[in-house]
Amino acid sequence: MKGFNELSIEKLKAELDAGKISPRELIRKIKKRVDSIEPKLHALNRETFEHAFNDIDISGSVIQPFRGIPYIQKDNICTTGIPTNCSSKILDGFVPPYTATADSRPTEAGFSLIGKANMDEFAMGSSTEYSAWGPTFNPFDTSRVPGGSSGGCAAAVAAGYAPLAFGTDTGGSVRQPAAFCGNVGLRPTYGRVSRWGLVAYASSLDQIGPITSTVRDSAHALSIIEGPDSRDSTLVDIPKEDYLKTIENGIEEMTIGVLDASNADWVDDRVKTVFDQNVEWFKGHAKEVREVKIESFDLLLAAYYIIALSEASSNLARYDGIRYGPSVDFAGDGRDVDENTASDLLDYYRKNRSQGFGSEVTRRILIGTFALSAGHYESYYLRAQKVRTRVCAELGELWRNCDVIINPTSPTPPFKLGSALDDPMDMYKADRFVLLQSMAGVPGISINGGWTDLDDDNSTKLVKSREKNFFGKPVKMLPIGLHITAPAFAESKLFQAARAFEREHS
Amino acid sequence: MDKRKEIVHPGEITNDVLQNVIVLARLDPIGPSMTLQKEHLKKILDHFSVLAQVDVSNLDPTIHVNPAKLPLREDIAVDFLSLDEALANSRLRTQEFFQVPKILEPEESEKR
Repeated sequence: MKGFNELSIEKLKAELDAGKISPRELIRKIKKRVDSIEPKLHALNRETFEHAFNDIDISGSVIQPFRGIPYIQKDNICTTGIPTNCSSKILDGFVPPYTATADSRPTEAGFSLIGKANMDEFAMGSSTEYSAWGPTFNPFDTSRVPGGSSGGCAAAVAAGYAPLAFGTDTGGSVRQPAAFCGNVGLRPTYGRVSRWGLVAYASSLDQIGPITSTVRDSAHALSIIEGPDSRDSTLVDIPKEDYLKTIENGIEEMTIGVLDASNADWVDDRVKTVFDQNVEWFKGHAKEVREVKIESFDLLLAAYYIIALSEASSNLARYDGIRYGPSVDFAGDGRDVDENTASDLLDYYRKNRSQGFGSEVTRRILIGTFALSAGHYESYYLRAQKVRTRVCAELGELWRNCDVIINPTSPTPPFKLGSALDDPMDMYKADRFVLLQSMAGVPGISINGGWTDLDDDNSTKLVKSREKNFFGKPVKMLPIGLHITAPAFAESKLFQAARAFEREHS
Repeated sequence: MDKRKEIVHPGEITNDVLQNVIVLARLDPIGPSMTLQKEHLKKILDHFSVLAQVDVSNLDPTIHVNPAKLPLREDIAVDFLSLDEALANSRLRTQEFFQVPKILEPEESEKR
């Protein structure tokens, strides 16, 4: 554990299984690392080391495959007895009385929860700057964002807090921060992973997915959290697969589609250079590489945001200050009211919500409410749902001629803190490459495609070792993500292609 | 037919329209934040107007990406949260209930 970003589930498991380190000793070392880095990174909303030590003590000699390996949960995944605040003032003090399936399963497998990660408030954002508790910083350059909304998870894994963090991906919120922090971020097929205990943002889009250091770890993590759960009616009844069995099979028999938008004029030249090198690699290893096009690609941003924000306005209607969260006082009869006192029930709702939600969440609720309101529903929400049908059909056609599709994960390298806050559209546009998978419900994975050199904005190159980017050292390189998409429930193909690339580049 | 007419022109996001949305959303953004929100809303809705150019006449809406299948369970009561657990996160409670402001007008007799 000397280096940076070198923790992996498989490596730690091997060391623990061989008795080279005990679970308690491992968690102690991790705590030391977190203590030294966290003041500069702010990846966690709260640390749960006491919880982790207790878990290890309680489990005793119970045989668990991943006993003692640390992991992190995004702060919108419920954990019994541990505050879950979604980085929002409106959930300040909320302690869930139940545990998400995506948390109980890793715990049962032996993982130890060491913290709840910072995020954009209610997962609404692409930079983790919209957190009520302040931003997380990119560990490769603390003047830049780690991506979002699972930026705390991605930064924590990159900084070596844990080899695994579970984030949530509504429109790229696992994959984009993974790209910005040089990690592996997976969005599973919609319906593969239970969302029981996940605080809802947009229900037809939300998915839970792992952020890890390696593709193999990502496959382990998916295997742990997937599977039937009677408490989530959106789960699809599909047999579990052994991803590790096929993950090393290579891509010699695969046809790779290259999304034509990868070369659009809104893609940063540094991203294009790295991606072009990625494509060349696939040309040398796959059966065939061909360009593919989604005719409706330019409609995705509008359609996605209308659907997501409409669903958000409905889901977030539950926050009224009555059942949980802070609330203003009631006014007695004849009392003058001020901003901290409500005159009646409606006033109570309005004041609790307005004081509890941040500016971006407020904006999204307003847009969603507008899109669902009488007179506008058909022009916005219904129309966006029909465009979604078209996108799904177009993507379905592409699978006739290719096994997986590749594109950059983000149109830009990690951007500077504050640079996309003045205009909300600038922030939304950061998601352009990761919305297709969310809208179609298919799986996508972001892996490190290469690095861009900050010393020379026009110079990019692949770097085989990440050791040049130790946290706290002068920043020279930033990670660029490579995104791979597969058909619904074809995660094994996704892992195969991602692992083939990773094997030669990590 | 000019399909763009189906979409509200961003210029139509008047104070009245915005006020109506604020009421519906049970929000109360005030002062400068309301002016800024209005400006941002116009910009975002302007971008959304790209959908008006799309012919969607022969398309059904996608509500759910997977085939809809409603799983049913046995109609048996299951213990979940205790009363105390359910009320634990509430700032104000009275006996076994969440406490909220009165929503009923007092009876005439009470007024007297």
